[in-house]
Amino acid sequence: MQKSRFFLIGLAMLVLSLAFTSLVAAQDTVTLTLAIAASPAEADAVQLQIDAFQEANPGITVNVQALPEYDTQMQTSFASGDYPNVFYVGQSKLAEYADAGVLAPADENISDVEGIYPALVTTFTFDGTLYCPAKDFSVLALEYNKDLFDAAGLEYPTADWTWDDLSAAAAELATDDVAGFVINPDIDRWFALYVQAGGTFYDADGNFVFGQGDVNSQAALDAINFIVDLYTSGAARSSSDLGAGWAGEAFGRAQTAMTMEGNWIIGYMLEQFPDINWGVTQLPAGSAEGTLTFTVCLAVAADNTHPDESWQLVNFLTDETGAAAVAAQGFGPMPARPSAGAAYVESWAARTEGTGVGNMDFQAFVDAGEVAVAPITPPGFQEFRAALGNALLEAVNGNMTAEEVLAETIAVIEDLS
Amino acid sequence: MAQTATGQRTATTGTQTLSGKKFQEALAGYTFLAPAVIILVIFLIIPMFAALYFSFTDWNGITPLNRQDAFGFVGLENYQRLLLETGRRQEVFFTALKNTVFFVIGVVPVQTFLALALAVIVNQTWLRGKGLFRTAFYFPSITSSVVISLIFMWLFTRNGLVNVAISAIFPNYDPVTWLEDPNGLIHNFLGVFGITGNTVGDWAKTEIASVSLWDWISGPSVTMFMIMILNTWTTIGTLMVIFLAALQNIPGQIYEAATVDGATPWTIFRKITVPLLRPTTFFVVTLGLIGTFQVFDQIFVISSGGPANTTLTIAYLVYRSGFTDSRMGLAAATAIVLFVIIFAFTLIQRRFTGERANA
Repeated sequence: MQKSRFFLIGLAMLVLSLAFTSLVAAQDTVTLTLAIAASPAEADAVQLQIDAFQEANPGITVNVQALPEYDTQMQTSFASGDYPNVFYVGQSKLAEYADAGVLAPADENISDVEGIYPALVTTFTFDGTLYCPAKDFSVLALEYNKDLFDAAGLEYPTADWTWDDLSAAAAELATDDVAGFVINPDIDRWFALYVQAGGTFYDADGNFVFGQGDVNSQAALDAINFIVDLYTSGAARSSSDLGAGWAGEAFGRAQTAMTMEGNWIIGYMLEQFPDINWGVTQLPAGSAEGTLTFTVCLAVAADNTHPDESWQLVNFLTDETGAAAVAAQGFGPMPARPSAGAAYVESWAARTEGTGVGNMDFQAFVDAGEVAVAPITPPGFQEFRAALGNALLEAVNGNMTAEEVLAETIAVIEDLS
Repeated sequence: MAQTATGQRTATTGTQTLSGKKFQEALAGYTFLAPAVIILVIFLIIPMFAALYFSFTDWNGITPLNRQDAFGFVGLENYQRLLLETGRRQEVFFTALKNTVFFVIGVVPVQTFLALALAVIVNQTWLRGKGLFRTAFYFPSITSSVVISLIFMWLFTRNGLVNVAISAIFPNYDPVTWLEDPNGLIHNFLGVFGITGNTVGDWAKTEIASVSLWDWISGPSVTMFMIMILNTWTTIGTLMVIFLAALQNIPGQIYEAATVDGATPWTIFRKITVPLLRPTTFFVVTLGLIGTFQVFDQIFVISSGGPANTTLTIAYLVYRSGFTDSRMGLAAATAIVLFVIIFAFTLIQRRFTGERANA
């Protein structure tokens, strides 16, 4: 008696432990899944656009998934073969995903490709194939603290500044407690210097040519020497040296007169440090003008039962109207189409009106979009990035010369290719 | 009760086949075991064999596995590139191994010793407020490691509490950037005597497994040292509780007898407590070895393997190769090598501490 009851309880537990299946009700409408990596503000903004999309297309339901550990979660769902119909692809992941065959080529599916910044079209092209339209993007620009410049009696930075102007001003502004300029010796900032020194990442055939050939090797050496000089002269410091988590924090706490960050600093400053009186201009030029982009596109899954509806959704989010929506939402990044640039600038000016900083002018970010390139390395080049980052740190600490840094990174590139 | 049990046991030895009752009992037993076994099989056994399988492939970790051409077999190539072939992969792997070994050597003895000391102290009859101390010491162990890591990052920033405290004691102290200092402790120590990589001689440049001898003896970097402090502090609590339970299992008569024989407290500790704790020590050291060899979350939160790869541990390298570098085959091979290392260390350590205890 008792034993059979035990048996039944045990059997019930067994059944429960196996009961993982969920029932899916049959539906008439097409259901798409859209995976995004987004801050809560961006997720809200995307949801607004999705609501508009569903209203315009009654036959399509979109299920938005905001994934916190995005790349890892996406990779595991790719591997399973059952992954979202439409999803964000960060610029650094495009080549890997395209190479692994999980992205549907764009072919003729993107509406008005010509209206997108050319640099962003290049960013999402791999092996001559365009995969997806950029959704929005950020660029690095030069932020400066007006009060610190006023106190030192210096003119504010302008778009025609050169490296010499930057290091001279930074050296003058630097004190024991306040840095002239905060730039961390990591590659996502240093690559901007490399571009400004005239360096390129890819040749016309799509080969990775960082630091190779006369022009690029000279550009790499110049860029390394420039950041090392900034550090050794005391003009620049790292954010951790100032006890800040990142450059934006040091800038917000008025521990530095200048820094070099992207559009994401706007919301951060206005929220966390509304009393700081600051401005933005384009990065100074070395032998060339240049800055870096950070962007995501909306890609369509290669394994997809609803490709047409998926492209419909992508175009809704990224065409002229989509870009205008991005400009109006203002969680930070800019619309990927220059046509919406003015709306972006106006949106921020309107939002900052009457606040402590007054009407903020972010035209500099929009202008920088014209000279920006994406700092992308080929798939599997994580070790190159790590090695270059480590070598830069060593160079800034005085343990390696620029030539040694370049030689080591070239060796890694040869090892990996 | 006791009688029935004995009766049944005799019955079983008598007959080779299971009687109906016996069969039902066994079935109930296995049914109760089933949920745990199923979970173990799905989340442990299958992934283990899957990792072994993928370690012989060149799968990138992205291409859907239900495709025909998702991956190809490469035999032992992944292992060869990690362990034998001179180059970048070998250098990264052995750097990770070196970092991990420094971490293990630094953390395991210290945490074991401190946990034992704390357990002995909070086990004293004269101690008032025992409950408070036990809770306080155990608290770090039950707090999320991510939260603790973030708090440590604040404490150890350049203007953080730790540097402020040291500056208050030593006014001439030049603040250390704990979170971004790639210099090894042994290198720093040798540097005090003017010995650096350039002055020590040419032997230091000899490379073993793509890592120079000078780098092999770097010691943990300052950043790694900070993570070691963090890890020691968070694990002590759990280990203390294990020691405490074992201490309370030692019969009081033994201590009384020893006291009557005139043994000093130190002798009692050395000749009675420590030997009787042997199985527990084995357990604690084994747990410590496995835990430290697999250190991951603190690295993930605090340093992501940097600065200059000095906090790159093998477990973090597995994650990096598999998820940021799209080389799942190589990551699987790395994981298998880590498994073999931990297994070997556990066996070796069993010979030293476990032998008599487990006999």
